[in-house]
Amino acid sequence: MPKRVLIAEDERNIAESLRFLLTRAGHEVSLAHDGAEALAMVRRARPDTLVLDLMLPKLSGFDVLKELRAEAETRTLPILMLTAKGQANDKQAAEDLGVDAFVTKPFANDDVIATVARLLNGAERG
Amino acid sequence: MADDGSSPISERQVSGRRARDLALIVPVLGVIALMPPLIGLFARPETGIFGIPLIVVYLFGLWLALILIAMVVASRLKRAIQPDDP
Amino acid sequence: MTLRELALLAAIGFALLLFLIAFLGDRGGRPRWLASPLVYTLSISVYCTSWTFYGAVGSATRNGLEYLTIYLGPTLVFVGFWTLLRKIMRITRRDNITSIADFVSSRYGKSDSVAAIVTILTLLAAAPYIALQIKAIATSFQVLGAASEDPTGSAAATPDFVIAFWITVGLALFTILFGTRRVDVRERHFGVVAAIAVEALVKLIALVAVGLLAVYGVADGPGEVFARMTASTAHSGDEFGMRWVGLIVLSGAAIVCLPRQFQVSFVENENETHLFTAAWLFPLYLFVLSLCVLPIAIMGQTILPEGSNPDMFVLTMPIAAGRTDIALLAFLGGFSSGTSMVIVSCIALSTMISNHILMPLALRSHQWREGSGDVQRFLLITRRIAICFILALGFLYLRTGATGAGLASIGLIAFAGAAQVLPALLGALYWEGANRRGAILGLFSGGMIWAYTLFLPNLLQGVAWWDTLAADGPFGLTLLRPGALFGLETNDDALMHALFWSLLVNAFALIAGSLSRLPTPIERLQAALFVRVFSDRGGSGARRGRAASADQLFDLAQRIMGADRAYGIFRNYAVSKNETTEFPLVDDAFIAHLERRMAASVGAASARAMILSATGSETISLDELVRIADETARLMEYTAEVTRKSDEIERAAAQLTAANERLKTLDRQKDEFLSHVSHELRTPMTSIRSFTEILAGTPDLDAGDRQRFIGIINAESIRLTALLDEILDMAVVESGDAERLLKPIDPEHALDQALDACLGLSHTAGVRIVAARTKQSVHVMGNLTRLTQVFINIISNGIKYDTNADPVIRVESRIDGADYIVVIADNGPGVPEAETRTIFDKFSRGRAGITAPGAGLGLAISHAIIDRFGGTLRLLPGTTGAQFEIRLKSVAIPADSGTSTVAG
Repeated sequence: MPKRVLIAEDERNIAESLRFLLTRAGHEVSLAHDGAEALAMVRRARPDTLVLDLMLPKLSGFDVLKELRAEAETRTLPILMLTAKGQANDKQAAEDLGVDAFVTKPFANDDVIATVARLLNGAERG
Repeated sequence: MADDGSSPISERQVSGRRARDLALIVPVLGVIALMPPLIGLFARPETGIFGIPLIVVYLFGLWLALILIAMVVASRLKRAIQPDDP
Repeated sequence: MTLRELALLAAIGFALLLFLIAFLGDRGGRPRWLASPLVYTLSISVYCTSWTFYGAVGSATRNGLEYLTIYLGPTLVFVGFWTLLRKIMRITRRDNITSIADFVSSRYGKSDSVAAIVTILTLLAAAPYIALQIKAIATSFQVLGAASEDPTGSAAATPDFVIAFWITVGLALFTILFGTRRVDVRERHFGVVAAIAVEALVKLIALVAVGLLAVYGVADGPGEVFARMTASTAHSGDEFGMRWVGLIVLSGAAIVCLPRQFQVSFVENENETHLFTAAWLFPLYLFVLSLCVLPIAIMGQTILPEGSNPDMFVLTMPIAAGRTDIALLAFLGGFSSGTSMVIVSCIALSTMISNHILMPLALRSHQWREGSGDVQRFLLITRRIAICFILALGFLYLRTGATGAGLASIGLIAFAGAAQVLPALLGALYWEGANRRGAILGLFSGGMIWAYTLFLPNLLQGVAWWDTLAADGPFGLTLLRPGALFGLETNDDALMHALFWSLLVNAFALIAGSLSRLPTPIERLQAALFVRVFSDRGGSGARRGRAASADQLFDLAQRIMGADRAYGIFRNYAVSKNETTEFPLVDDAFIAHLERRMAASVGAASARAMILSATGSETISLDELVRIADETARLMEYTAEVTRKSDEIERAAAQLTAANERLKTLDRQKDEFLSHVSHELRTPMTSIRSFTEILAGTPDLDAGDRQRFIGIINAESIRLTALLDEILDMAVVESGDAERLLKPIDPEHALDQALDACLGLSHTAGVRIVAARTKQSVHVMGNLTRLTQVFINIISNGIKYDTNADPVIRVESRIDGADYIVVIADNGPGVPEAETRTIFDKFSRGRAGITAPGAGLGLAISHAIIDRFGGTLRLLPGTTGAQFEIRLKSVAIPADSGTSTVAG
């Protein structure tokens, strides 16, 4: 059964590439274009893994993370956070809130695919 | 000066005070004696002592007396003011 | 050798001896005897001038015992030294007083005018007196020279002016040599004093010698003398009337007020206790001289022919008795008495003239402000000139022939003149209420009356217009006749008449003038320092004098702290003690309180010194007070300077802090900007990398996807380039290179292009653009591409940030006077208040909370561009939505400014 992956990324082209990659890796991929939408989609149907951009319109990735970790249902949801260099503070804070993995933009495609696969396996095991 | 020397001090102070009083009174007395009407009593050409006109004797005598009193008063005042003066 | 040659030789020899004594006296290691009370007393004997030496005999011959008054007055003053002399002495020594004028003026608030009046008055009085001395010396010389032909001495009725002139020159020389060697704080002249003392001895010895000759050489002893006395001079009670009293008062005044007496008695004094010796020794000196006068007068009348000049009996009697040796001694005695008086008078008067007339004038002309060396030289030179001037005055007075009267009567004119200082002096010493106005009025009125009733009548005797005036009064007003003022007839006794009126008016003017106004603070201070010179001295120290009134303390306090603060302190204290009076009761507690408050202003030591001086517990000279005040003022100035400096430093620090804050903000903005730029750059880069990897790693990609991905890569590359361009633009605009060439452009054309460029964007975003354009052709200085860029930036900003449901961008252009104005407004949320300031800053990312593409450089670039064009770009305040206004100076002449609406 294919795993469901939600991608929260405002940059359409990046989201497009991620969707292409993860779909090809055999996952069922859905897209959110801002933080609020991402949160709503998670609440509606909990994905197996969330790929979350740190900088999102309306609700930042950081805020989305806080919300999700505050709710029992999504406390253990595996999250891959896309960050950029120079956001060390945010990254530290996100780590404290329990982000499972980080990938720095611009990313290598294999990195993203491998990390998502690891998160999905881990979630399966846990 | 020894502690028990209080009596000579006070004596000298008394002496100094008396001298001060004299210093104030003597010139006043001198003025009175030299001014009319007192001096008119002695201005009598016909009277004289040993041939010296009375007025001359009176004036110079008074003068000399003033000088002598001043001498005594001044030396006492000086001692009262300068107690340590040898 | 004739007697004349002998006299000349003796005079010259004696003069050389005096020079030697004065020289030795002035040298460093003065012999101890010079500082003895004996020398002090002898120097006071300068009182006995040739008037005494020759004139007393004349006076005794003419008026009997009246001559004694001249010596009885000083005797009374000296016997009563404790009251008056000691007080003057203490003040003089304490305050380094230099003359009678200085003394009186110090008391009346250091008044220049008081000092000047006293100086002029005593100078006028001194002129006949000095003339008298010169005349006596010259005459004695003549009498001695002509003794063989003319034993009566009457040939010398008119003095030989050639002799008189050379005597004057010699006196000037001596006085200048020893009187003006240096300027001493206390104006002391040891050499002169030594010479004067020797001369006093010579006077005494000579007169005693002549007296003894009269009693034992001419007469058969005292018996014969007194036997002849009754016959020659009648003594009746008439002599001891008003004139007797008046003369004693006058001579008593003179012994203190004559400048030369003040000089030797107080200024030259070495040791205050010398006064205790002089108190009896000086009267004794006078006593002996007076005693000798009587037989000389009596025997001179007996043996000298009828018509002999009685003023010369001292010389002519020994000659007549065949004793030329004693005559020569008498000549030297007369010479001594004349020269000593002239020398000391000249020194005292020249000091007064230079200190109180020339110095104030020089100070007023601002020439001598710098350097004390100049002042010293100035003082010495002016004193030398003053000495020559005084002697010349005396000589001229002699030439007028006004000295025809007896020696004694001329001397009395001088006495009467000097006595005008007496009321002011007594007021200075015994009446605290006496003030400057009273002193000036008294001195002036007394001096005028003296001059009018005594000095001028003597000087102008025989001058036609004066004689008329004297007989009929000025303008025929007989009431104002100088000899009988207001009809007061005194039996032709001009002296008593003058003395009565001048002293009466003088004293009255002093009292009235003093009561007519309150004394100034400095007058009160000096009054207390003078009148209470002995009070509360040498007390236990803990006890303060309470002589000062609250008013006096207030005066002092307000001088230190300013009137408002001082008043506050006094009032608060009075209120705190529930006192009903305006100022508090002056007690120890209040004085201590005030002292503490003043200490805050001037320091504890100064405050204590001032309080002590004001309360009379301790004395302090005015100079010291002034110095303290000056130092205080300087200190305060310095403090103010420091305060000002520290203010400057504080301001500079504040500026630094502000600049630092700004730098911090800029630094933070730079970080944010870099972070933002990095994010913006990273975004296209991420897409490019990702799709490139997909293309490279996915050989089985279908053609459609491949084409789409390549398109994305291409688009993102373009986006990246645009971003880089923007950053580059910023740098270029910043450096200003691109805008160096400005030319007239049509801004409406730029706006057209911008609106065209934004058409697509607005259409996509669903934003309407409403334009209201000026129809006017207008030109501004600028660069068309850049201006277009600015318009596009602001319009596209509006499109980006307008979140209104029905977004509308309004673009309006108009001409306002010489300005071309474009306003671009959206109906979005507007710029948050906090960001209106920083919106044009180049690292600022406009409108927080709203994420929009672009590096946030647009507005900063636009602002810089418009700035280069000499215009302004600003955010209009207080509007809903954001309204940007671009204002440029038009270079074309506008006609009418109609507007039209163009729908976008």
